[in-house]
Amino acid sequence: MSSEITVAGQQELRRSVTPWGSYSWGYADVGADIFVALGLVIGVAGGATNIAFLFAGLVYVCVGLAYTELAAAYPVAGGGQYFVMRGLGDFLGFIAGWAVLLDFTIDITLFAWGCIGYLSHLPVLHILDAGTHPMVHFWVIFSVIAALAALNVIGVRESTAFNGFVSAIDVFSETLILVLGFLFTFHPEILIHSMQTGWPNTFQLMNGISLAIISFVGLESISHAAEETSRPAQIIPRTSISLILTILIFALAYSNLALGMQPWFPTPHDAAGHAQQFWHYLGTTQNQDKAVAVMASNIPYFGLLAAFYVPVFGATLLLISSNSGVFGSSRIAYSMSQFNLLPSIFKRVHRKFKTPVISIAVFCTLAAIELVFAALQGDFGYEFLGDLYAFGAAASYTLVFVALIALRMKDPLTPRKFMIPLNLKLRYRGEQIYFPLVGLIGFFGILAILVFVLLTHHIGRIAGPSWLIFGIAIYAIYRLRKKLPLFGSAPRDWSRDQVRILKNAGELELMDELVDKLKARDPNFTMKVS
Amino acid sequence: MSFRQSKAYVGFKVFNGMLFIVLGAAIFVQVARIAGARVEAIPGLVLGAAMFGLGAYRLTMMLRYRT
Repeated sequence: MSSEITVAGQQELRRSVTPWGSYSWGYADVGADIFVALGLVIGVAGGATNIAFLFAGLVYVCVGLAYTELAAAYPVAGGGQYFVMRGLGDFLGFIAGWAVLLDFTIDITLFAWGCIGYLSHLPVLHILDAGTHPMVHFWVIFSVIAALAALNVIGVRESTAFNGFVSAIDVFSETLILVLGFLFTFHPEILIHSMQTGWPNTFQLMNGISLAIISFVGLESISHAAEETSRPAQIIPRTSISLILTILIFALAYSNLALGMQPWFPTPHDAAGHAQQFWHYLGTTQNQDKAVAVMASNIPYFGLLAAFYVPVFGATLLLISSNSGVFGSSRIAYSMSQFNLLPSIFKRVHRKFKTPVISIAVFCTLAAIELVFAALQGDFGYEFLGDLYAFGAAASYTLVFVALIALRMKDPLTPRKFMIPLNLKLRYRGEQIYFPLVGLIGFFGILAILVFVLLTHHIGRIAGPSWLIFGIAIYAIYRLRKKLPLFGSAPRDWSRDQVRILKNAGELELMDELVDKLKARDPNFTMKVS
Repeated sequence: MSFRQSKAYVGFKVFNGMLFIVLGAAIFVQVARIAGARVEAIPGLVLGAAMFGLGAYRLTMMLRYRT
C-alpha cells in the first residue's frame, strides 16, 4: 500500500533521537523542576507539602499520559499548541501556544534565578544571595539571561548527547540523595508530627497544590523530541511512561523526606530567635531557591560532599533548563507563525547564524522584564515567578485535555499506538470512538489547579490573564490584517497532513493503516504526488 | 553489541530495580507501623507503594528484554 502513496518532500528535522535521547530530553527539562518547586511549596503548604505534591502528581500522571498519546499519534514539534489547534481550532490553539510561551519566558527567568540561588549556597559565592545582596543578585541573573540569548543567537545549544550525560548524572544524584536521606535521616514519627503540627489552612493548601504543579512542567519536551525521534509511535510511549514514573517518585520522595528528616546539623533559630522545625527552615525565603542543596547537606557524612557538589550540580541543571526556555520559546513562536497564529517576523532567521534571532530577542527581553517585576517584589520575587509559571502550565494543560477528547471524537481514524487506559466505547457521527475517562479526570484535576491559581495567587490572577489578553490583541490585529478568520480556522487538510507526518516519521505501517481507513470512508480518497 | 545489551547496563538496571523495591517496601512497612490507619499515613504509604512499583516495573522490563 505504501508504494501507492508518494508524499511531497518537506523540509524537516533530522530524526536521530534514540530512546535514551528521548528520555533524557524530557528529563533534562522536567527533572530540574523539583530543585525549584520544593522550597516554594514547603514555604506555603508547610506540613501538607507531601499532600500538595501527591495531588499535583496524580494530575501530572494524567497530563503525562495525554502528552504521550498525542505526541506518539502526532509526532510534530509544536506540542500543546499543535494538538489544541488541530482539535479545537486556530483561536484556542493560539491561546494554548501563548500560555506555553508565558511558561517558557518565565522558565528562562525562574531557572536562572534558581541557578544563582543554588550557587549562593557555596560559602565562596554567598555574595550572590538574593536576601543579602539583591542588586548583585539581580545583575548576575540579568547577565545569565543575556548570555543565554547570545549563545542561542549564534546557535550554540546543548546536544542530545550532552543532555543524556547530564540526565544520567542527575538520575544518579537524585537517587543517591533520596536513598541516603531515607536510610540515615528519615523518621516516620517526625513525618506524622510535621503533618499534624504544620498543617496549613485551606487557602494555603490550595496555594501549595497550585505551586506543586511547577514540579511537573516541561512535558512539552516530549512532543518537541517526537519530531526528531525515529519511529516515535514505538519509542515515545516506552520512554514517556518511565519518565513520568521517575519524576513522580522523586517529587513524592523529596516532599516526604523534607517533612520527615532529622537533620545532621541543629536547625538555626528563626528571625525572632525561636526554635523551628527543619521543614520550616527549608521553606523560609532565604532557603526557598536552594532547598534541595540545604536538604542534601543535612544528610550525615554525605552532607560534607553534598554541600559543595549539590549546589554546583543543581545550578548546572537549572542553567540547562533556563536555556531550554530560550530555545523552546523561539521554537514555539516559529511553529505558531508557520500556522499563521503569529506574524511571520517570528519565522525570520539570522542571515549568518540561521537562528530565529527575532524570537530569541523578543522572548529574552520579556524574560528580563519579568525579572525586573520579580525583583521589585523583594523577598517574594521567586514566588511571583512561580505564580506565573503555574498559571501558564495550568492554562495550557487544561486546553490539551479538551483537545485530547476532541481529537478522539473528530479524528478517530488516526492510528494510536498508545492509548490512555480506561476508555468508553461510543458511536459519534457514524464512527466508533473511545472516550478517554482518564482524560476527563485529568481535565477536572488541572481545571481545579487553574482555579486554585486564580483564587490564591494575588499577582498570578492579574498578570496571567493580562498576558492572555495582550496576546489575543496581537492575534486579532494580525489575523484581521491577513484577512484570516478571527475565531474560526484557516482551511487545512488534516487527513493528508497526517499521512505526511506518519510518512516523515518512518511509521509506514501506521501510514498504511490510516490510508486504508481513509479509503474505506471515502473510496475517492487519493493523495496527489509532487 | 549495544550498551543496552551489555552486562554492566543490565546489572545496573537490576540493582536499581532491587534498590527501589527494598526501599519502597521499607518505607511502606515503617509508615504503616508508626502511623497505622491515620490520614497522615497516606502520602508515605503511596510513596512506598510507588517506589516498590517502579522497582518491580524496571526489573520486569529488564527480565522481559533479556528473554
